[in-house]
Amino acid sequence: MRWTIENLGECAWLAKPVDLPPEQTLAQILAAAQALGGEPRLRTVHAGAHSLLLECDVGQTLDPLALLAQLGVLAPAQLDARRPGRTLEVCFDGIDLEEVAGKLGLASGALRAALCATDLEVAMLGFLPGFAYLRGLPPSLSLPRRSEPRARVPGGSLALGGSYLGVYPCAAPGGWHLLGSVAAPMFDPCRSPPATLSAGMRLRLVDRTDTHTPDGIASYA
Amino acid sequence: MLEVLSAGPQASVQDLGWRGWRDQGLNDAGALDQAALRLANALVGNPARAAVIEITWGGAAFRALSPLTMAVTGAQLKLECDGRLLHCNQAFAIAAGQVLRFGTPLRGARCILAVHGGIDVPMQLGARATQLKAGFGGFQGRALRRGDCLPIGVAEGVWAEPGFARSTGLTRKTGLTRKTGFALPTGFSLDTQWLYPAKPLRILVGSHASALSPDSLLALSTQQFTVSLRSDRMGLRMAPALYFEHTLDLSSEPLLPGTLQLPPGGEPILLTRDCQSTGGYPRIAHVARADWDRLAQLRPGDPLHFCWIEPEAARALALRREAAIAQLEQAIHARYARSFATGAGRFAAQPSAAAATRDAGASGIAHDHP
Repeated sequence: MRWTIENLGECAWLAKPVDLPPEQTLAQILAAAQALGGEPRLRTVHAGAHSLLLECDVGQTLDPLALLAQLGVLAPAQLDARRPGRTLEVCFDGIDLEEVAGKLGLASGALRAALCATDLEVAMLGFLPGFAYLRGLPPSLSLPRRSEPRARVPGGSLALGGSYLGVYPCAAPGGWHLLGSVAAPMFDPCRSPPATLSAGMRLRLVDRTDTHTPDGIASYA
Repeated sequence: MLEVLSAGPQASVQDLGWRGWRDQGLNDAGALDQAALRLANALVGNPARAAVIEITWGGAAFRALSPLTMAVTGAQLKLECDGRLLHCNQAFAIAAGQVLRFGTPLRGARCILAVHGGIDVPMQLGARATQLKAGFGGFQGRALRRGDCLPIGVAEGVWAEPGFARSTGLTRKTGLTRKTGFALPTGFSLDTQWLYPAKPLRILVGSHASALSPDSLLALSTQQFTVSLRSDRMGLRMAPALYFEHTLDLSSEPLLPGTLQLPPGGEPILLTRDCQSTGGYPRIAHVARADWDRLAQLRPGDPLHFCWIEPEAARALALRREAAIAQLEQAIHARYARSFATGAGRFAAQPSAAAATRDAGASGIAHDHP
């Protein structure tokens, strides 16, 4: 298992696995993040979709390559079994839904069905507390972000940006297309862990547009 | 209690920030100028982690609803309390009902107001800082507004030990003595100039610097930049533009403060402590950590220069700065403890700034040469 290292200043690094098939990259990054979670010299271990950020306090000396080399390779099957599945209930009432469907050459109902039929995976969290980058969309459902970002996207908006879906955990400026809304809170500072979704989690959207209460998130086997 | 009469352009409750939640999308954030935070807390006898008020651009006013001991650090500005001029970088006392008014900073953008006992807001995920974007933490998850009444905590650490309080006549609640009405030595002030040297910001090379056009690469370390109006707690935008030889198309990655990003439009963005935790713009450089506090004090229109530094030199610089700040914190605490032991809270003599600096070990403090 080999890694390349990019320096982010004097005491932080972005490590990327090399020679791995793309479908195994995230699993190995998450395995490494978990293995390094107890390393006292590290202030930050942040798993991304393609890379792992490591940061130590400036007084520590640390060789990130040596640290990563100590970790073995985790079997992908073993990793897969640990990843819980979730469903996320969505009301497809986004103001961009019709426009997005049009650009993708679909009726909005077909777009809703296609989104709900897709097996999604949480690639990473970032941007805002609890914001999850959801991947797994086929190229036929991908669309470049809006040319002009909106000054304010409402909290709970389900949005499409490139090949990612995401749920804005709170109101924020944003350039993604708004497809619907999710009632489940994405981040609760009174909970541990505070984010509802975590990297590596498998996810399915459930269409609750026609029922009145899209109220939550549930587990599935 | 401390009542907000005016919050100025922006004021919020902050502390050292979060730690270890970036994989939940939560950045470390906290006070942008952490040296100012630590020294303000030291001056009022608080531990470094106590919550304070970060004030942007001055203009704020607060009324003490009980007698309070306070200190202001960071941006230097005029401080006035019912006709009495007060000084930054030293502790002072305010009687119940008195109003503390902040002028406009002469230099710098942000100051820290620390109160003995700390701003007593609930701890969330290990910090009392405000997440202004996500709307939690701090005081009701938002910036301060006129009319807010902030609870003040009870001092921790050595101040909270019964023996200490008895020997000094200090009451834990207010940091004031019953007898004289005021206990903390207000005579000495800190020299904090060394925290903000007027020098180029030192930068370490980023992985996409090599993709810059030769002109832009040269300009980065030779040209004067200007902080633009579109700057906030997340980042500073600046002019003039820089360009890549070829366009880079990157995917979003985990991200840290200090990064100098270059979006396709060419307007560089220097990320500060409250920046988002992921991003996909090219990373052309990273500001050395010894200079992160200085980023908090830049304001629109300020000139900005950069110079390259190697990782080893940057680490040495950061360690030296950290040691100097820690020494200064200890010196302040030691001075207070000694004063209480000998003078029982009377500080008639005015220890000079030089004395405070001497206590802290002059060599590490006055200079910041790499």
